Amino acid sequence: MRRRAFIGFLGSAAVISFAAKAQYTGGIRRIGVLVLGDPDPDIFVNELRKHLQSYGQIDGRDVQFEVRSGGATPRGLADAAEELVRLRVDMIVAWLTPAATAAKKATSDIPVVMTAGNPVETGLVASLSRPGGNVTGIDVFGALLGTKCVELVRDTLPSARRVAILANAVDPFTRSFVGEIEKAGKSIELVTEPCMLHPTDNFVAAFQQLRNSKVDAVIVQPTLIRPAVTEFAVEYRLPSYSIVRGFPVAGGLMSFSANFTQLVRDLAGYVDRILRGSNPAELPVMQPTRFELVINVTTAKAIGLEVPPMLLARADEIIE
Amino acid sequence: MRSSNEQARPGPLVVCPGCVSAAEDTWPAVHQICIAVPRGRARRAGDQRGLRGRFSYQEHKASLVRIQREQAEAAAGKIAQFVKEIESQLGWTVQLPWSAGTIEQRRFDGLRLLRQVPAITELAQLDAAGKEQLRVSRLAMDVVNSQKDYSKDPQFTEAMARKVYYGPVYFRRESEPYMTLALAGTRRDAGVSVAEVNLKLIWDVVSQIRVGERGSAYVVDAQGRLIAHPDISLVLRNTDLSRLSQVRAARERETGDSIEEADNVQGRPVLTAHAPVVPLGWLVFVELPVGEAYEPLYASMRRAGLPLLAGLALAFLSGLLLARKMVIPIQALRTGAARIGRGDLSQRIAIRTGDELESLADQFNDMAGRLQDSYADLEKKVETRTAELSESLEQQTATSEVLKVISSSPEELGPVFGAILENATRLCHAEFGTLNLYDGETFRHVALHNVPAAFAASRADTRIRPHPQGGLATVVRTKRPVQVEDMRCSPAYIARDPNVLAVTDVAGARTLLIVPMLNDDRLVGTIGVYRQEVRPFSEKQVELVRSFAAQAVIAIENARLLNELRTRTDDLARSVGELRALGEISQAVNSSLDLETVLSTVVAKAVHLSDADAGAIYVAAETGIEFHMRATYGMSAALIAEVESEGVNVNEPSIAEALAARSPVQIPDLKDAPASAVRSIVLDAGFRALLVLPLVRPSGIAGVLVVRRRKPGEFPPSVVDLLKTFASQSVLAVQNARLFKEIEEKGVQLEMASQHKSQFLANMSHELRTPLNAILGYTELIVDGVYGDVPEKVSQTLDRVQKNGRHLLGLINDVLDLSKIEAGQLTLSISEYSIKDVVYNVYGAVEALAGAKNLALKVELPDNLSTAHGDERRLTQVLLNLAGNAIKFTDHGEIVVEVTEKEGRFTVVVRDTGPGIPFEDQARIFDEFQQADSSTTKEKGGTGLGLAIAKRMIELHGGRIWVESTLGAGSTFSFQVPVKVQRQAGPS
Repeated sequence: MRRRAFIGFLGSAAVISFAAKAQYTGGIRRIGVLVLGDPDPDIFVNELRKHLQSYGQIDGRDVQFEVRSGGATPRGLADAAEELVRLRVDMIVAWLTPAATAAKKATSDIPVVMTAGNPVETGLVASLSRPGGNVTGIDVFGALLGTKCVELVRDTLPSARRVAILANAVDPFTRSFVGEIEKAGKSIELVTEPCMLHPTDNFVAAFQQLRNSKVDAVIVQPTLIRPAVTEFAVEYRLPSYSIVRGFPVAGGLMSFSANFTQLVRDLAGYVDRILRGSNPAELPVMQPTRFELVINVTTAKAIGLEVPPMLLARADEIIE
Repeated sequence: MRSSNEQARPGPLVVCPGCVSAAEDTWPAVHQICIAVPRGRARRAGDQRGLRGRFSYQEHKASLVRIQREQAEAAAGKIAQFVKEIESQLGWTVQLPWSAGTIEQRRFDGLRLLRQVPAITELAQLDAAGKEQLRVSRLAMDVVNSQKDYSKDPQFTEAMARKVYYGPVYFRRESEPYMTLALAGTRRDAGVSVAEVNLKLIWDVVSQIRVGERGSAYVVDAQGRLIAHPDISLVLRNTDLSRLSQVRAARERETGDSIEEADNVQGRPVLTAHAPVVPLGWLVFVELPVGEAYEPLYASMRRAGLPLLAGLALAFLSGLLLARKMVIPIQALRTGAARIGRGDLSQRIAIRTGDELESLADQFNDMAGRLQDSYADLEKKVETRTAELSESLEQQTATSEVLKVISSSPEELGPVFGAILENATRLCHAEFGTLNLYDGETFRHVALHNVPAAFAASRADTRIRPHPQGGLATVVRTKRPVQVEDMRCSPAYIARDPNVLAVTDVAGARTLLIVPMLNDDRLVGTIGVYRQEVRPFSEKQVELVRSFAAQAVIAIENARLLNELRTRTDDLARSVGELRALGEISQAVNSSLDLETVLSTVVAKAVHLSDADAGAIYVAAETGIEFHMRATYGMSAALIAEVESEGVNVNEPSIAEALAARSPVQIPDLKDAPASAVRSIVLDAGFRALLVLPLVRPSGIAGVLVVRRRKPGEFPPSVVDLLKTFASQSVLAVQNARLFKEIEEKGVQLEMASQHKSQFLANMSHELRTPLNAILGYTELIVDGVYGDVPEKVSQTLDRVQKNGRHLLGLINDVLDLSKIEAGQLTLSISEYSIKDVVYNVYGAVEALAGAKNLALKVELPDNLSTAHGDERRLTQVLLNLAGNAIKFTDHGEIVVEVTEKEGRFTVVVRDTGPGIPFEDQARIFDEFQQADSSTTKEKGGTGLGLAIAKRMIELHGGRIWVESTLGAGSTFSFQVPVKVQRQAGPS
């Protein structure tokens, strides 16, 4: 009799072990996407969606996006962040420093994958190689890109003497951004004129002031990119530069930024990894390797600028 | 399970659960079935992918590692290629010397390079002196003409020296791995281009390397720091892999064997291979998780496993089924066998499986059937046997009964025959039986059993003459048992033989068995057993009756022998009696010398033995005419007196006859006998028969023995013979008695004569001695000169007178001694003495005599002679006599006197060398007045008494004296006396 029981046990153990390899499918994951509002987050979200799909996280089946926009105000961002936290999303994807900061402030449990200009300096992460905490993402070299903008200014207008910096007063990134540009400008004897604006401010007045100060170009902080700015730049025939691709797309003259696709793909990769269980504290902050120079020739024509051919040759993308 | 080479032993997992559910005791058989089934399944399950066992595991691993190594080498090649690509791209920038081209152009070229080579983050161009002329940066601002001096830096110096410089890997912002790559131009004045290469882009190369599903390739620099990994985050985290065993091993060795299985950075076991990226000193590792590496193995195992499982399940089911199919019949068999074993043979096992089990069951059933049959058979046999045995027992019992009867009353045949017949009829299941004795011609019934009364009556005391065709005749003829199956059909019956008729009609016999009784092949009789129905007797019954017949014969024989024995015994008894009587008489005769007693005894015994009433013995007087009655028996005193007074003489008729015939004479009846006075007396006394026996002596008739009986008739011859013996005994007795008387008288006379003689001697010697003493005395006196001088001649004559006188005196003394001794009046005076003294005394006495004859006289005495007790004087006398004799009778030679002591006795020997004594005289000389030879006596003198006296003396001492001598060779006289004589021995 004992023999039977033993054999039965063996048999069922074998059967069970064979059937053991169940995958954890889990339920659908919710990804909170936190953006500032301007520019249009959809571009980003779509890109994110697309790349996540390539990682096997299909929108609607595996993941679900909860996009919250901050409405261009820090207050709004904080609320949005809190809301996402309340929603108990599995993750928060934060686009650009303000969102990342808000997300980090709102939660220290929910993983936050962000893009930021200078995450170490803005306190988002402890170090690039070991972020610690729940925040990781991509360092988009914002500040350095700013210096590149300076270079572009000089390349575009060798005779340029003054450059305005449209800086977001409430963006934590602003300080490094402005700092680097000023430093760069100094090195090539270009006078930089920072112009602090609040996102809710009326820009017209600011621009008026800029015109009066006879600047040769303007470098716009990404979080201030809005139609008003590009229109103004065109109206006043100011070459405008920024460090995000969305700028020339929106009507600005040119931008030097990290390759957007690559950026979002890397972001999606991190999202996927964290969804699969990686610990954000152990995912080092990535740095983009590809940068792109995007020139909007329509805008250039509109402002009556003839882009030097070498610059054109250098450009990675021409928007017409 | 083995794939192609099937072996007897299945794999370890093949334990069929199905078998277990079958009966435990059928486990082995069913187990075999279940083992067989999965083997079949495995064959069908496409087992070319099957496991090769441990051996193939090693092979697989080795091949995987080989593959990985190739991959690693390929990857290393690719990485080297990547770097080489950058190098070659960089090479474009140092084609032209510095002088050629504007800075703008260069900048443009640089920017273009940056665009083309995403890996280069920064490009610096140094002139031939090592000063930086241009810096183009992807991120930072381009710097033109900074003139920074790098002439001392390795990127410049090394590049200038070796054309290319590969700097060590460093991490920018602690995150990204970079390498400085410097290339010098082919022309000396081209300067050096220094590029900062972002090694993160090697990730592209590395991540494209497919190592299985979850395997990966990664690159570590010479220090073991991870510089490229599919998971870029590991790189960006500055993971140091120098601790990993494979990294350590690879760094320690250039090439060749290294660790194959190790743990990867995540700590999981992997199969690892590596290859160096040659110019850079980096190591490319290609690792495959062990799980995945052996996945094919496991997969094929699984692939094989599923069919195995299926097979097992099937085997289980089929085993179950088969087991059930087998077990149920086997159980049935078992219970059936148990039943059979218990002894219940009536049931049969019903198995209808149509296979060996059914045939086995059939065998069982068959066996049960046969057992049943054999049991039944056995029972029957036992029954028959028991019946037979009990029958035999009955017969044996009957036989023993008969034997018992025979032994209990051996001389009475009636009971024996009765028993025989009773047992025979009973055991033969017959009605009645008869036993006949045969006298050679006819038969006579001597025993009947259960015979109908009418028949019995008719058979008593009749002799049956057997009908020639009848059973009895056949028996007589053949001496074998005869059966008549139906008397009514027998020819004897048809012939109306009266005997047969009687048996058949009167007694109602139908079947008859006649068995002969044979004694040594002689027919002594028959036993007949009759049935009143027609039923033949069985062999056994015939045998039985035969045995009874034999017993009857034995019984008859026994009875006869017994009778004979009895008669003999009686005879013997009588003879014994007679002998005893004779013995008594002999004894009487021998024991009593008294004639009267003897004769009385004889008469008495004779009367007893002859069974008579009286008897007498007459002894003949010297005249031979008169007979005197010496002994009587059974005769009254009056009768005795009468007969005596009448007197019996030889003329008495009976006596005369007896005497004349010298043999016994019988008168059966005195009345018939011739008359005589005595006869009348005797007749009157009542005696009628008479037996007279003469007592015959060789010299005549001694007397007669008469035996009288009151009953007339003859005496049996045996009695007569017996009495004859008595008669002769009586004669002897009479003789003896007479002789004895004579002797007695004679003896008395002799005694008297001897006494007279002694008396005479004593007197005479005394009378003789007295005057002789006087003579000798006076002569002595004269010689001594008491009566005056004595002339020579007178003296000589007187000497002679004295000598003779002394001789005479000695003689007389001797005679006196002898007479005393004979009269038994000599007494020894016993005292202590020394034999030595005795010898020397004698020596002294005879020395002179010996010397006178020139005879040597020797004495031999041991020193340690004991002190003796005895009569010294007499012993001296004896020795003196012997020595004197020796000297006297020896003329030349020597005389030796020797004394020895032995065993409390002295032996004194006197040896001489005289003429010796003839043998026939040696006894005589010890007699009185004897000398060996009378002739010499005259010569030598001597009384002839010395030895006689010596003999007497020695004998009184309790010793003995003898002589040994050979004629012509001397004589040796010896005597022996006890050393210590306390009292003299009685007269001999």
